[in-house]
Amino acid sequence: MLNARNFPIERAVRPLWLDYGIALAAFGVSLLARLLLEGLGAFYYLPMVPAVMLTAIVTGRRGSTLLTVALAIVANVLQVNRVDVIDTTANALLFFVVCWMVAGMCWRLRDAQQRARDLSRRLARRNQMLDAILDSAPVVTIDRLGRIRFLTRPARAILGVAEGAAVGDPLSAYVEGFVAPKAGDLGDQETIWTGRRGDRPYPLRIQTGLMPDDLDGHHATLFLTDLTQAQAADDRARELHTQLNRVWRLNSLGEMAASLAHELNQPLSAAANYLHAAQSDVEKAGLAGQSAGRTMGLAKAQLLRAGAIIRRMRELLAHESRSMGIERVTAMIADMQGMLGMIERNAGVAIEYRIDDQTDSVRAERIQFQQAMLNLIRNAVEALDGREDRRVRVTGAAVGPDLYRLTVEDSGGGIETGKLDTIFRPLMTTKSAGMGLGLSVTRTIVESHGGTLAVGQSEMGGAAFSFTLAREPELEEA
Amino acid sequence: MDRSVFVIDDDEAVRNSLLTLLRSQGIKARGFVSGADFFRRLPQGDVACVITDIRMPDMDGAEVVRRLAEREGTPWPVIVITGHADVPMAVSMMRAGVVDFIEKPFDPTRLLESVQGCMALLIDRRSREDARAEALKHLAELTPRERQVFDGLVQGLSNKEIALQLELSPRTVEIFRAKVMAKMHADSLAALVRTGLTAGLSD
Repeated sequence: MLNARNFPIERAVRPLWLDYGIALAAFGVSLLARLLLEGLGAFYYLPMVPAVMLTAIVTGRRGSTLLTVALAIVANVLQVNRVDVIDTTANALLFFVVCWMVAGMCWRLRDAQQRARDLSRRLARRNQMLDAILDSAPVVTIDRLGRIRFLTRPARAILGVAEGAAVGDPLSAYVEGFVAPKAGDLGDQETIWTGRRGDRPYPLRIQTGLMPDDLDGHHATLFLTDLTQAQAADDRARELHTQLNRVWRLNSLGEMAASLAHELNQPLSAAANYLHAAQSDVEKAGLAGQSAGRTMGLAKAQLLRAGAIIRRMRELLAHESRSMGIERVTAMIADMQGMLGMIERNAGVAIEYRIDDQTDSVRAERIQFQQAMLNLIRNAVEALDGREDRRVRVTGAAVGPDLYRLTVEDSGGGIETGKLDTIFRPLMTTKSAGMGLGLSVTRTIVESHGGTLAVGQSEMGGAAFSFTLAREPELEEA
Repeated sequence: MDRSVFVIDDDEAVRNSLLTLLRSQGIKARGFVSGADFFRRLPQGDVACVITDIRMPDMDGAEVVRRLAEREGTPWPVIVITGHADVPMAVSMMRAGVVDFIEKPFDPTRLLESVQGCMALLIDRRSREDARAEALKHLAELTPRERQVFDGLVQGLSNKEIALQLELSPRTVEIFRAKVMAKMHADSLAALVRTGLTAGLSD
């Protein structure tokens, strides 16, 4: 709390001799005045009273005041011929009492003046400090009707107004749809508005504090924050997300085709085999069998044609998307930070990265790698749903001179041993939402990179998915 | 000799259809659901040709090929069938000693031809193996002196040269030579040399 007491005033102390000098001087001047007035009549103690008052007010010291009083009494006793000792003593005592009372009033007056001076100096300094603080904070105060009463320099910069302008304008002229808080509202609110600098809109956060009792017509203080930059960063991450998603959707199509091709090839092979076996059998049955066998041969040819179509489609898609290059694992993962950060924030999961960045040059197709990693990380994060322990770890390290292994593990429930066989099957999912293509696609990607997607138990408690990429040591030497 | 085909494929339909196909051609066939299953139940003493899928849980086809190559005895020919072939995989498989690499779906005729090829290879390998075993058996029956004469003959030396080398008379060498021919069941010098080659002496 900013308080006047926090600003001590150091005061110059007048030396003792000067105070007594002042007492002597005041007495001297009064004595002179009394002597000059001698011709006009008899003035006893009265001319000495101003000297006492002056000393008391100027020095504020009891000693110097007492000196003046004493000198005045001595001067009077010596100068004035009194009737008797009683008269002299009575007058001197009376003078002393009167003087002491007057001096007391003078001292009190002096103290009050001093205090007032100190207080105003303290207040001035406190104001200076407040001004300095306000000068660095974007603060606006408004009245009950939402009109600007006061605004600091940073606030002018945010609202985009010149010095001296804007005071008296309604704040809603600068902030779209701004409504002044009512007296009954709870204090210290925070709302995001759309500000307008010229024609340009920008996100503006306003923290509101109500003034007690509408101080001098200031109804509320508003603390402004321009959110343009924060929002820009957010927008960039979102844009990147959209962009990658688009590429990935296209890519997924290829991977999906590959995955489905593999799955379709199985039953097609089986059917062709069965037909061939049947054909051999019926052909042994003589002439009638010969004809049936020929028909079966035709059916078999059609199955093989279906296989050829699938293969052609796969090759077509594969050629479009595949362009392996020499990439660094750290760089490819760093590229995904925006998106991974979003996943972390949304799920409240901390992803730990242990990527060896010395030996991480590998042969990979960037987008596909990222998609595979994202699939695995997303799976890991989803496996933590409703769990206390929420950790995901991504590990990358060279294994031998030729391979680099990446592992994604989590502290979730893991995969039941009985389900290990089925998790890679397309359209097989344990999640309520999702096509069940994630792992199948990831495996296709990993295999197109010459690796195998392995699943096991993590020491963290959940599942651990890992695969290897071919290292490219040449790049490190270059 | 009992010859069969072992089929390793985790897809039940593919596995069963292959067994049906092979049996319809009069070929003995057995199925295994995975590489691990195969090695666990590996029939001892059998001679077989192996058909394996690549992508399988537990142990993939590449691993099966590698483990089979480590096996002692006559190498079993392996045919790899896969639903998602690519060139690098095919190359690495062929390099690993796989006899054939067939992409699913395949023409059963193509597979049967390949199996016949494997069987022929197996017979060939087996007969060579038998001949070698027989040659080694005969060789073991030779006395040290007879063995020395045999070595000289296989190297292409004349009786006189052998006699000189072993410090014997040519007449004695003549007698040893007749004994060697009889023990090795060779009716000519050429047959004797061939036996030596079969036994791997000249390698």
